[in-house]
Amino acid sequence: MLVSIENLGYTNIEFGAGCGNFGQIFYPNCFTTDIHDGSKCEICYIDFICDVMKPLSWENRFDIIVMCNPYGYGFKDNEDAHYLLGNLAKILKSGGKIIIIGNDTNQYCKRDFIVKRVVEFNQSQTIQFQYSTTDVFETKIDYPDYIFYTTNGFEKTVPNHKTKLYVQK
Amino acid sequence: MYKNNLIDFSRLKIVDRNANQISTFNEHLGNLFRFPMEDNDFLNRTKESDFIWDMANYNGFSQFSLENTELIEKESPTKNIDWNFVDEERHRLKSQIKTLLGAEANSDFLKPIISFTLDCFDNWLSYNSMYPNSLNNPWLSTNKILLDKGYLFLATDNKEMVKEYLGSELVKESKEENHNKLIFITSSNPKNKNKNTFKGSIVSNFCDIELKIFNYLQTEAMGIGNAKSANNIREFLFTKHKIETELGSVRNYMKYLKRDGYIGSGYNGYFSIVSESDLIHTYQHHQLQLQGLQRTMKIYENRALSMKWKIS
Repeated sequence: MLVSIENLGYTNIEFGAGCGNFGQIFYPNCFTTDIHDGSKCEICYIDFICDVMKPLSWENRFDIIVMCNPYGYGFKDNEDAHYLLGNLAKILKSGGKIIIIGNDTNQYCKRDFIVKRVVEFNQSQTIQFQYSTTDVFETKIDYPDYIFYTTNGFEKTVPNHKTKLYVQK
Repeated sequence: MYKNNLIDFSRLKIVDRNANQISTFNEHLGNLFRFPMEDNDFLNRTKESDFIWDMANYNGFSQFSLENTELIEKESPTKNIDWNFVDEERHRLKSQIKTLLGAEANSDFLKPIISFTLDCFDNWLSYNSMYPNSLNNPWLSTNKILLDKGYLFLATDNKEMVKEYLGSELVKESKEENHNKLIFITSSNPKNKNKNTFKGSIVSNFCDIELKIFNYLQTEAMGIGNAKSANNIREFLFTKHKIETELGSVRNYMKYLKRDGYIGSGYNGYFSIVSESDLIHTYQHHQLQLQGLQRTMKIYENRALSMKWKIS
């Protein structure tokens, strides 16, 4: 069901949620969004459609942004990543964080690329990100029994890292 | 492919738009499809349903194959990968494309086709870094389109985007029933300058047919004793799925299923391998075929020797 963001006071948001409800389960008070409307999903958790690679109207609105196994957008290309980080920095409150769960074989959320893009971003912006990354073992402890899927919603994917980016404005 | 340790982009010609590369792209889809074919969850899920290529499946399989390379390679990937090299080569290719396209490169119109082409290159390079020179790399075919032929290309199921590139809705070239939603777009060479410079084709439905044949043999042709002929398979496709196909096409589907070891074959037909004797039978059948080929090659070699021609 699509809802209006004005009706809820949620301070967390998940982008690229697909057919999953990861953000709702592990980061309560979380909007679930995707570029698609979820009409192909068996159960649709999408609150509203949102393209994070387009201008976003919010400012200093969220505490936590969740990106679970992003594909088709992310940290692979330096120009796209720079745009994405700028967009996310704008909608996060100072001290807010981005949580990226992914597998290193996915170049859109590969740790080497995330770190490289953050360093490049920090060099050219006054807003700064700090990062920390943990491996699969902690991910499994943090998110027990949750099954992650690839972008078509059917093939399983196993995350091997959780990377956090903290914004300082 | 490599020149002075860097990938050779010298054949890129982007602006020379004169080819339709759909068969090479179909080959890429066939190679990508091998990965979910090794996954029991996928096989169970698609037992009774049609398989349709759309963007979600394409992206899902791309991701799945890179994460599960060992399903096909049967060994672990190389550990020490220089990801900086991967990243830098991507940027070098991007710059090269932008230089060749000039001001056109920054248009919103060309952004999707440039992005898709770069993504395929990235995936090839990632896979190639994990398994250098592997013939199982599903993006070898897309690299042929890019680096050997020099074309940008795009696969999409977005009807509006297709219309924008082609100037009109896609006109189906074949009467064959095809439920795929994925459209492959590449450049074309318009004789009339007013015509659009892009050509689109719906991707082949051979993956769906292969899957149907595979499932049929899994249930109806268990072991050499229950082998099915190409004619049996042709009848099954028509009776059960209303798919009309020539015997030659059936043999072609079987060629790919055999090549990947999903089924066995002998003089009496095709079958799923369920026992040691099935495996021995199909192994010996192929061994005989190989001996025949080697004998023919020896004849050619002797002829070359007597004529003093160099053939290898």
